[in-house]
Order: sequence, then C-alpha cells, then structure tokens
Amino acid sequence: MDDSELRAELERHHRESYGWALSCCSRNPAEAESVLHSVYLKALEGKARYDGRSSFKTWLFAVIRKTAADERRRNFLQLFRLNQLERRDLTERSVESFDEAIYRSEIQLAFRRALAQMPKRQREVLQLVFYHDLSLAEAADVMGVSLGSVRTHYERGKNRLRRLMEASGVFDGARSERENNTGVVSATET
Amino acid sequence: MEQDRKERTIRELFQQLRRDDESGAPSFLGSLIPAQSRHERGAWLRLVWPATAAIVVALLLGGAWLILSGQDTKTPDPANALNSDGASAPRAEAPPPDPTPSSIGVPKINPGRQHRKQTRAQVRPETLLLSQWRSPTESLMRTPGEQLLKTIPRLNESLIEIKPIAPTQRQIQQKDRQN
Repeated sequence: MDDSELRAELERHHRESYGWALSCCSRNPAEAESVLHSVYLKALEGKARYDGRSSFKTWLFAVIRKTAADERRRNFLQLFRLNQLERRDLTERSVESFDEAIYRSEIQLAFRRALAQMPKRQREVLQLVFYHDLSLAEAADVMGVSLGSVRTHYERGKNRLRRLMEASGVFDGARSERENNTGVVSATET
Repeated sequence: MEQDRKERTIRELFQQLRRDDESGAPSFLGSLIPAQSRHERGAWLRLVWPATAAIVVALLLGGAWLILSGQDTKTPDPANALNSDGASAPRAEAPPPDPTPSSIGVPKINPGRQHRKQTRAQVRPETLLLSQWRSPTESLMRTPGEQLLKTIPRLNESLIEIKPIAPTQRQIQQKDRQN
C-alpha cells in the first residue's frame, strides 16, 4: 500500500477511528486525539504496517487499541503528578455534562454512565460489535484474543449492560420515548 | 421478545452515541497535519541525535586526553626530586645512540620524545623550583651532635676532644714558675 492509498484509507475511517480512540481513552477527547496523532504517525513512518492479513479497519483499530494502551502506560506517572489538575478537570467535565443534560436525552447519559461502569473487555466487545458493526471474529482480531474469549465477553457484557440499564430505568424511558416518537409520526402522518 | 427489544434499544443507543461522537470528531487534516509535522520533526531529530552523540563523545575523549596529558607533565623529574641539597642537578643528556651490536635488544630512548619532555619541563619552571625549595625552619633541625650522627665511627679514634677540667701537673708547675 503506497502513501496516497494509506492516506485515503485513513481518511475514510477517520471518524470511526476517533470513536474507537474515544472508547479506548475512557471517552477523553484530548487523549483520543493524541492517540490518533500517534497512530497516523506510526502509519506514516511505517512503524505500523498493514500486511493485508485482515481488513484495513480491523488492523487500524488494533493499532489504535495498542497505541492507547501504550500511551496510558506512559502517562501513568504523569497522571499521579497531575492528580490535582485531573480532579479539577473532572469536576469541570461533570459540570459540562450537567449542562449537556439539558440538551441531551437523559437516556443517553444513563447509557454512557452504564457503559463507564462496565469492565473494559466487555465494553470493548460491545463497542466493536454494536458501534462499529464488526463481527465477533473481527473484534477478536482487534482485541488480540481468541474468538471464544470474545464470545464470552460479548454475552457477559450484554447481560451486564442490560442489568445496569434496567436498574437506571433506561429501558422504560426508551420505550416511552419510542412511543412518543411513533405517536408524533402517526400524528403527522394522519 | 423482550430480550430482542432490549438488544435493539442497546444497538440504537450505540448508534446514537456514534452519531454524537462523529459530530464532535476533529477533521482528518486537523489530525494528520500535527502528525506530519511530528513526523518531519522526528526525521530531523533522527539526524541530530547521532551528530550530538558524536560531539559529546569527542568532547569527552578530548577532556580525558587533556587530563591525562596534564598529569604526565606534572610528574616531577626523579633526578631533581632526589637531590638532597636542593640544587637542581644538571639534566642527564640522552646518550648518543650506540652503534655497537650490544645495544640490540635494549630499549632505545626516542630523542624526539626526550626533546618533548624537556620542552615541557622548560614550559613549566615550577617543576625545577620545587626541587630548589628549602624549608625556612631548616636551621632549627641542626643539633650539636649532628656531626657525630653523619659520620661513620672508627676504632681508636674519637671525634670529641675531651678537655680535662682539672689542671694537669705540667700546668701547675708552669704557674708556680710564673709566680
């Protein structure tokens, strides 16, 4: 794959890559952007090379996941040092999320909260399958684990997320929202 | 049925999340340009690092050579250091190269090296001055019995002349005559 082809493929998957990077970085946009920079740099320098054994998207997601893990490890000590700053940042973020709550649906926020409570592996499998429309085999390639392991994480993750969402009343809210939407549609249709 | 409905809801929520993320995603160029600039900077650094390392190694080697050569010139000349009188002994001239076969196997003194050593000594006169130095309290070290300690004793010979305190018989007779 030459340089122009590589750029075209990176551009094609850019938005999805950003979403996956967000998921790998605990939904921190600054970290996700930094990880994307590093991934593009690796691809441009040839440190990460696509060999065609899997789809480009699977390969790219695996690189993003590995880079995010490396950066998290590298920033481990810095996180300790910037503990105070981080705490302040978190409070700012929580204020921001409170403001967002005015505009966004409560269901979406409860869903995000439930996702944040889940174990990392289970969250990753669900994200890859439901968000990025990958198969379980492709998810196994991205995560670097066996298909059986991914299947287990997938089933457990689904059950756990369901329970968390039931506890927060998301399903009831979603149902009523859907009913409202259908009501609006039927009213406009009539 | 209920399970399917819940799974569908989860899928919808994930798709909603995806739409939200994609609306907040930075542009591709916005992500690529910093990566490219980092790539270019990295390429420049890859050239700079070996050059810097080579300069540092050269400086360290130069410094080590200077220190070692400085120690060599500070080593006192044994001919001067062993001179007890303090006077600088004349430098032993390098013997002329012996053309006889007996000199084979004996390490030859390189005249060029000898000359370099001499010039170094000329450049640093404190080496000579050090051998001439005498302690200001050296006179205090002189004792009355110093001569006795410095000479080897011989049989039937005494260095100390013992003068009798009591007048001899001859002196008494002379005094009597005078009186």
